[in-house]
Amino acid sequence: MDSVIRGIAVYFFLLIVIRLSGRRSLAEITAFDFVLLLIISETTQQAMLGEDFSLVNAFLLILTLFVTDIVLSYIKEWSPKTATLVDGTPTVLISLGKADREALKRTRVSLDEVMEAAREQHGLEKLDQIKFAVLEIGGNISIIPR
Amino acid sequence: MQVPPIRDDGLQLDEKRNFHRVFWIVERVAWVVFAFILVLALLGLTGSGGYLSRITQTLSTGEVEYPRVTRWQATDELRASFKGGAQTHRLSLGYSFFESFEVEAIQPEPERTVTLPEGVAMEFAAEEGAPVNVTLHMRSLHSGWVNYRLDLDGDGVDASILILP
Repeated sequence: MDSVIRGIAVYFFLLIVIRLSGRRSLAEITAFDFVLLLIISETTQQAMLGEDFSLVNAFLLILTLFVTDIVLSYIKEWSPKTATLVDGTPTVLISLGKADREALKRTRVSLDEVMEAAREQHGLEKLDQIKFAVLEIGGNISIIPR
Repeated sequence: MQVPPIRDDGLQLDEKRNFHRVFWIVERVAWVVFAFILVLALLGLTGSGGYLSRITQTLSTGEVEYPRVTRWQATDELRASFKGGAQTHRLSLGYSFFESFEVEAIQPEPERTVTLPEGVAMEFAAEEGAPVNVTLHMRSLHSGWVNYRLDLDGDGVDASILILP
């Protein structure tokens, strides 16, 4: 019983913290971000397992995490409001070549990062070559050139 | 399955800007709450060290120091300092303490342990009336509030410890 409760608690805690920390933090994974993720996973593992390193505990935790994820995906399918709350929606950063200052500021995305995505995806050289820039749900920036 | 609407600028995307505006505010409030939790942790109110993490109480027979907040399955210490003047000192703890904590070690080892109706008493010998400092290493077994009676040579306090999950 304890493992299941721990698993569910950790799942939702991570979901809330990652969601509230903003998509910006996942937009550009640097080497340090990667190390940070490893530290978080190690800390989470200890919190979930406690001092019980048995196979049963590990299997129960894995099942708990998968089942919680499946249940949440069904809830999101049934309730679009929950899906919006959990996953968010894309944010338009540049529309018809015009930068949305509010969106850029609130999502903590700089024009340099938008340009980086533009260079990587389409080999664009200038900002005015971008028609749309969208911060996607997954945290990546997608570029539509003019 | 809902088809995303086409915006005025021609992009077929359901952005929900009003939701974003509310969420951005919630996000920033959450960051303040995260920072506040860290401040509480630095002060010691989430256990494991910090200025407010321990309580020290002075009694007529000595001084006792115990954690205000501890964490489930974490180790912590209860310290008792008896005043000199007696050859034997007695530290008594209520049963509720032992229901929530496992005693891993006691330094120095008690000379004698006696079971009382309301708890367990440990007796420590002192050479020529020297003061005795006792450290009890304990590990919490459950989470929740623990209220127990703690006595030093007959004078005691009603102590409580919050065990965080």
